[in-house]
Amino acid sequence: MSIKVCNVSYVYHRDTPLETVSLRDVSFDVDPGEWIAVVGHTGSGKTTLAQMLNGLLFPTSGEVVVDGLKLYPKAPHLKSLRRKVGLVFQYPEHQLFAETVLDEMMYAPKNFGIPEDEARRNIEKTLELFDLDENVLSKNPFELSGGQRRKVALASIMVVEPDYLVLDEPTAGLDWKGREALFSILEDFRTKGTAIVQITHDIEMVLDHCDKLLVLENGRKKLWGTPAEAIEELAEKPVKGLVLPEVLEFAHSLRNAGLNVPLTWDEKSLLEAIEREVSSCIS
Amino acid sequence: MHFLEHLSLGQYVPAKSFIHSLDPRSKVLAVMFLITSVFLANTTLWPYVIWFVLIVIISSLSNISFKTVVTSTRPVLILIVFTLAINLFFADGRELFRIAFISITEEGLLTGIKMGLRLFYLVLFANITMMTTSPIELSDGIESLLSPFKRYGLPAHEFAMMMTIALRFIPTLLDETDRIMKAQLARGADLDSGGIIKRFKALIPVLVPLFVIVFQRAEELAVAMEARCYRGDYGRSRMRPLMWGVCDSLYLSAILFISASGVILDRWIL
Ligand SMILES: Nc1ncnc2c1ncn2[C@@H]1O[C@H](COP(=O)(O)OP(=O)(O)O)[C@@H](O)[C@H]1O
Ligand SMILES: [Mg+2]
Repeated sequence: MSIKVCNVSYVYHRDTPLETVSLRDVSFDVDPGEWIAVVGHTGSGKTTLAQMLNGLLFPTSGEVVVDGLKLYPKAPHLKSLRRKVGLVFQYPEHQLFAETVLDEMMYAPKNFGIPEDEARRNIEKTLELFDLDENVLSKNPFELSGGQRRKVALASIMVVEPDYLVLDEPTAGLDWKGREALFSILEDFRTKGTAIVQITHDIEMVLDHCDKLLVLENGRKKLWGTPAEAIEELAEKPVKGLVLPEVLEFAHSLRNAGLNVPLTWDEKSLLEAIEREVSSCIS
Repeated sequence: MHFLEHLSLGQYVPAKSFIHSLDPRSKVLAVMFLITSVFLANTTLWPYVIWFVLIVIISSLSNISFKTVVTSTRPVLILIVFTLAINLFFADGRELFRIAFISITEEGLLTGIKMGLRLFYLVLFANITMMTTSPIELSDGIESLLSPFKRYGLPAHEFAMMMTIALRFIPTLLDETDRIMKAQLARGADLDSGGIIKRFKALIPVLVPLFVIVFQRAEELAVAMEARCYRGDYGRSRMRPLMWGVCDSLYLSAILFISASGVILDRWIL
């Protein structure tokens, strides 16, 4: 049970003057309950990759296999796979269309043929997770605040309880508070066993949460590993357009200057290491 | 869901070429000359060969392969075939052969081919022109060509501005449509099965967000234009004034000469 992405490449506008290669030979796996961060500069192919995990785009070469089933155009199992792999586009609130939040939340369950009473129960659970009030159900999505609209959009995807959740820049346009709220919701889902694939250009935001990082540069896999492994490499060989946390950059400079400190992005542990070093120098 | 996979009809392809570098006015006038002449010639098929060669030459001067130009006209091919068929089946004249109760006449065949070719050339040439002219240039060119009629009350500038905005937003809206469709597909939508009513109902979740976005964009654009003190044509200067060069005169004369000789050949010589 996992998503396997094997040697995937993707070309837009193939055989025309506008041909663009957006992914080249990318491979990685998503195991149940894992939190994967896909990081890269604008145009590095993150959105293209996200759409492939859900069978919205199909690889030009290579393959994507979800729970043992390969994705290809018009596959009979496409719909059930889309239920398994939830995909949250960037600015998901742009896809709201229904007159009430309830109709919006019922849309995916109806499409996937989930019985009404089960859908109802799921909606209640999901609302609770998202810290939304019951009476929001009768409201029109367009009269909610921006942050609440984003929550409703996310909830309307989560209500079918996918095993994998792919989010394309889910924090775009959110303030600090909204971001923290979103991360705590995602952590809740992870503890329930949902695998998360989070796409972002801001590596600092995901370091504390993810199990593994996939770094893309111009459509190529640049790096694949745990946050600790990744920052070790990134500090030595920066990737175009990826800004490392300041604390990490500082730790790296200290280390280059000969101090014995760990490469960390956590202020407190860096401070402690520096204090240790300084006091050992003095004594 | 893959309608962005192919180049759409008339999509601008940025590149450097002789045709790209021409003044939009000469290109627009050339299209008008060629189309007029194609519709004026109607006795023989010979001029159509000349025009075809001309179109192939122009496309080779535009740095876009002829194949690309032809494939992107695919959406109108059905219209062309339809035109051919109508003429083929419903013209009177000397019978060539019969298929069941339909008689195919020589006149019908000839008119059908000619009408089909005319349409095809029209689309082909307009397509090359659109592919090599950015939307902004195109509407600047049209504005400039229409400006003599301003004194008779024709709102040339407003017309061109509307065209620019529409052309500018077509790719954006196609992108948005693609995104929204994909987002709803990810939520299990079934966009391409069932009868007409079911399909239309399935489109509502795509159309509503699209309209919301269109209105939002329109409002943002209006505010942005107002914030930059847009007040129509009055006292407006241009970042890139149109420049008519020797090449433009040459190009236009060449097209005019060839188009005219096609018509003359057709009417008085052959
Ligand atoms: N619909 C499309 N048509 C043509 N090219 C595209 C399309 N979508 C993305 N691309 C191109 O593919 C590359 C990767 O894009 P994308 O996957 O959106 O990257 P990211 O999400 O990392 O910014 C870019 O060069 C982009 O221009
Ligand atoms: Mg993106």
